[in-house]
Amino acid sequence: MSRGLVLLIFFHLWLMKILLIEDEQGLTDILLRSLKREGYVCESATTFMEGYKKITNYEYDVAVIDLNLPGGDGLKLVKALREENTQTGIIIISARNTVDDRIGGLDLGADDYLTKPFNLSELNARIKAVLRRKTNQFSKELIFGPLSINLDERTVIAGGTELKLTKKEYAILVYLTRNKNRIVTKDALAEHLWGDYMDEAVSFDFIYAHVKNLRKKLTDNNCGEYLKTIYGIGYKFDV
Amino acid sequence: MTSLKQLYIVPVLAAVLVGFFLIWLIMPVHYIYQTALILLVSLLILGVGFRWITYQRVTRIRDQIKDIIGTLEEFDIDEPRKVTFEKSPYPIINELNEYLIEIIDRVRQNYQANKQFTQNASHELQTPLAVIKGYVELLLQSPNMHEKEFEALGAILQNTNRLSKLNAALILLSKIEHQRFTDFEKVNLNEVTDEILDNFKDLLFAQEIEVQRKEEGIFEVEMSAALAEILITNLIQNAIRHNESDFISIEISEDRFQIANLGKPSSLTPLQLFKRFKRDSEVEESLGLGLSIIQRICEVSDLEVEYQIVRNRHVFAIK
Repeated sequence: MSRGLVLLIFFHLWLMKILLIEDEQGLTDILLRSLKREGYVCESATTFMEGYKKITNYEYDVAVIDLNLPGGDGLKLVKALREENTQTGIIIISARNTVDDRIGGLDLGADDYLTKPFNLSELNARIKAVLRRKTNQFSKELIFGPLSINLDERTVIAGGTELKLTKKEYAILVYLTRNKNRIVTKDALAEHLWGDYMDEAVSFDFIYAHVKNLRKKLTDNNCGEYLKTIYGIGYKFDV
Repeated sequence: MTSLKQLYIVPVLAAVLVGFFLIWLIMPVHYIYQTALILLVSLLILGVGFRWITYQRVTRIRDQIKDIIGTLEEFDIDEPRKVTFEKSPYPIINELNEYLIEIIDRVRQNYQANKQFTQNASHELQTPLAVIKGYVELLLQSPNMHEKEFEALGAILQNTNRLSKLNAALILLSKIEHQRFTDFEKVNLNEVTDEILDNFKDLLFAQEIEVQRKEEGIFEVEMSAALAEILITNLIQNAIRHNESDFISIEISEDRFQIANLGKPSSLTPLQLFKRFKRDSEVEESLGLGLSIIQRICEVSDLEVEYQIVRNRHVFAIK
């Protein structure tokens, strides 16, 4: 066996594998590109049967499943996958947004439920959260130089001192780190923090205020350079 | 009508006169008065009877027209049930009914097609919008972006977001109109208000708005819990958005929820206000669909919504 192949197999075992079952070609393309960019190994299925074959024949770390599929209900895939394998994280993405759908999906064993349309950074953050819960590969601590975030205890330590962050500041910091090196748009951040409740203009002012406070706390402890503002668009956690 | 009724007297009088004349011509003199009397009496009976019959016919026609009006009043364009009218002995009424049924069918078909179109259009728009947003997000991540490009992407993103929100509001409206929320239950609006105010806590704090609450009783409504939440959220959001002072007031009693804020005098009349897309030109970010949603929710939940402005104080009340 050539060294390259061994390396490839090794990498394949090490990398996180994600299955995307979604029938809209445009959406599949964009999601695959976004996921690959994060370094996942991705496969996609566009019909119920194709999805079913893949989940029964292979193992994935996370399956992202759309509920409206040609050939069958995505909920059945969730059920089948759960019976087959308890380790795989399942995230449902759906345009169906009734409480019943949501509860039904989670009852069958899905780990998360995301309503369409969603932001790529939101899906990214949810996948990471699911991976952290399901595998040991993602530690409970996120460490960036002098900055460390303990996700279990919800504490942030910067330059040796513990930061006193408000709930929202903590949420913003975790969301940005989950999307590290990616620009997170203001509206993705607003939706993550408040759902659909807020008016755009108001929530943007609000995010601005929270980020300003957060940056001040980080800068006071020499961690300010991670948090970048992309003018007019959003923020980026640069490592 | 009265003038027409009085006209009956003319042929009756004419008949009497002609009768008298004929009797006078051919009868022997001593029979003349008896015959005239009989003739007169029978003519009178004839006249009264004639009028009575006409009256009966008019009453029946009027009742049938009343029935038709009743059916039309009950007519709900959203209900798929076919409109039927009772068969009438009068051909003219039957003809009217046929025309009405034809018109109703046509109006209903147009209405359904229209509704279907709105619904399909907003659903079909969802995916392309999501794809556009996704690609912009991806583009944002590419290296070597300059400020000008960021600016352009920012504008695309902002406008796509507006479109998505508008679209989401339209989908919600069409869902309400299609009666997709039928899970009626007893909803305690006091509790719903508590929860939603909690969601708005940050925002209220940031804008330094104080909520003055007065609860005189528990307002319970038989409605969909999801819609109740949307309704109260929209009312509170609306009050915050148009607020010009440092407080909004909420009053809840057993059969009334009222929210008021101080605002600019609106250029819209209360009636215009609930029309889709009507909005005050000065508040840029509002989509103008919020109030339509409020109104539709109230309609399907058997609530009454009331709006008035008293000296720049905008008051919304649901009962």
